Amino acid sequence: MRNIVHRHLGKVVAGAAIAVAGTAVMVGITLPGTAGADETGGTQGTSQAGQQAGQEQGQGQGQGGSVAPGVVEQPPAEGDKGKGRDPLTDDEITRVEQIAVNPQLRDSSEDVEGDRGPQRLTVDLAEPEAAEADDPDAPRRADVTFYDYRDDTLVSRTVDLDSGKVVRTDTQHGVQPPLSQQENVEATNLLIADPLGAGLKADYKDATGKELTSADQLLVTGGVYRATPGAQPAVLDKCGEHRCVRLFPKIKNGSWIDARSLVIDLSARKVAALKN
Amino acid sequence: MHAKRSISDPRPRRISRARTRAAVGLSVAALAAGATTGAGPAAAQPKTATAAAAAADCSAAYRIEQKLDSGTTWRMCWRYDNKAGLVLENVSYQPKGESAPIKVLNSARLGQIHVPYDDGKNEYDDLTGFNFAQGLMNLAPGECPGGTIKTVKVPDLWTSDNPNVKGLCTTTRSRGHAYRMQGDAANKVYQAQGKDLLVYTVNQVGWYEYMTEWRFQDDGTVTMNVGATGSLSYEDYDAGDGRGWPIGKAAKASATSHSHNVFWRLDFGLDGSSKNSVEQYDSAVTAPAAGQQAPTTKTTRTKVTKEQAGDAKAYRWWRVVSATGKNKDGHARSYEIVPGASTKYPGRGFTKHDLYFTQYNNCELFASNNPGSCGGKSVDKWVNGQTLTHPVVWMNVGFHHIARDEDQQPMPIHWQGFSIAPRDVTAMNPLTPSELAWQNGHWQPRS
Repeated sequence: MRNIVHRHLGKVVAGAAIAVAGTAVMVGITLPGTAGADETGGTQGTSQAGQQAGQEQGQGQGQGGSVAPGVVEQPPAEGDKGKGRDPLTDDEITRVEQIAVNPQLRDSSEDVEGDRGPQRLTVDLAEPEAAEADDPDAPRRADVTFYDYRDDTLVSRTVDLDSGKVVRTDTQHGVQPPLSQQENVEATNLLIADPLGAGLKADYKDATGKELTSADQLLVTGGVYRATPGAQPAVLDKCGEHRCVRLFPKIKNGSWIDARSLVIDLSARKVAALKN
Repeated sequence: MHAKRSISDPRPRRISRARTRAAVGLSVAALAAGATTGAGPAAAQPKTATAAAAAADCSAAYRIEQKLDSGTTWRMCWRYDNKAGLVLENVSYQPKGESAPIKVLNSARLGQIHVPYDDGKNEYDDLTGFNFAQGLMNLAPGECPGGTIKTVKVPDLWTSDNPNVKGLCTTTRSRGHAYRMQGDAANKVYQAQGKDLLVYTVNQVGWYEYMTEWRFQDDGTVTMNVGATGSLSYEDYDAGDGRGWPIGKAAKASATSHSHNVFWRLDFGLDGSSKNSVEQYDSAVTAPAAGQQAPTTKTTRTKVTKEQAGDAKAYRWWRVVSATGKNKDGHARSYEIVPGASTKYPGRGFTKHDLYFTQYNNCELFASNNPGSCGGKSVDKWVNGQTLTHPVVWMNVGFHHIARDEDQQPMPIHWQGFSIAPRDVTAMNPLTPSELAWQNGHWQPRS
């Protein structure tokens, strides 16, 4: 029987947090390599303990006796426009995205999949201008960021929601904010399709008995990789100028897989391994 | 899994609209326990004339307003940022006896969680390079005892296609004695049990989970803490001599040590003005002069008029002073910075100092790897001689995490943070009982 998984690279890693019907239960999965470990992630007896601990937490706090568990509030009904420092509404977000991407930007840019139009990253309520710091009626503005894979630029635009105009544009090279879900998914699919993804696929199969063919089968989050002189193979030296990611894949309702030694360069669409 | 969203797609991304009814499930028991209410039934909220002024700040659904048993009310707006996570704005404090809320903070948010590993192989910038904000966790009811769990919309949440996370807890908690004083009569004691408003979220980044907690005390003190829990890194072991600690059996499995450097960004707006000033106080102790009983200590004030990187030192502290507000004793209102335990990380320029005072710039939002174009990517670079007319305070609190056996499993939560305490915001203890209200200044016993 093949000795436990972590030599494949991706490594199956213990300790999944599983959300079960609104109760957060920490399930302890025996670590790989432990004698008698159940490779499919045996949880005999541990989920009981975890659940009990969660419930006990709510009791005995504050003075004298039990405090009621928290009450979940319904999400607020969302109007079209926010007021003051309200979060941006869905309508406002859609509006600013449309305003921020003018035809010129749309036609000249490319997203992570190579399609026309820049890669949307984030839309956030903007901080007030210095002169407006004490003005409760300062205009609502949104900061929209995009990544253009055609020329590896980070484009930031600030849109005034009252006037509907772009009031600031900023373009930078070599600045890499966190990856969007779409980019993490694309990176995962590139990894799966690459020979270097063999370890990831083997670990997935070990844990689930199924073939890993698509990022849909995983939950993925990632971290930006920025090159440091000499710290990576030459093929990854442009990371930082290029948009590169190291993935943290997690099997749905299962364990993590350690894929940190693999870097996916989304700009060049290449996968490479960091030296150990 | 995820529908591809292109910029030109005009379809608005709507979440299902909540049916409009009062905050569901606010039981009488929960209210009695001091549960906080946001969009709560109007009857539960004592409305004051000043509530109208606060109302311009944000909608009711995004307002946190809590009157604590002792009569102090804290108010603020909340929202969620795609890098910083929870952001609190327009924070005001109204002790009983004050007819209007006293604004304290324009904005309060995390500035970075920076985690370099001792083996030099990994250096995480959780807010600016990782999906910290996209890892907001759902809280089970038992995780917010006596409180209310609000829904936060998190675009690009990585754990689910449904962006609505039951992820913001607001609750109240007793902190024990606020004060105690024996009265003149043997059977008279003045004592109060202090009550706090707690606001917290949990964000998972990789195997770590960070609880971001904001504690608003009924005496005006605000304490901010980040608690690290979850799990140690699964694969960072055996990095060599002096770089870890064995947490397996005997000498096995030396978990790699690392540092957690957490930054907070506080934008003060005391009494509704951002034109606060900053003062530094230092005390010097001198040996007794001939004939003197004991050493003497002298405290001097230095005005901090320009941007500055500050370092903690014995007998040193800072305060942020209101431009306009005075208390009933005629003293300028201020908030004093009270540091917590910290191990400054000398390995990077931005972590070399305990705090920074920078002139407000809406581009400067993250202490390192700041994504905007502000002439420098980290807070240390922004300290460049500008005059402070609207100071922003950046606090850096570091912890060198050398793992121990107890860190498995899960890792017990480890807190790091600091406080800001009111100094002369009120003329007396905001919790002073009415019988003692005359004991202000150099009072004389009265018959």
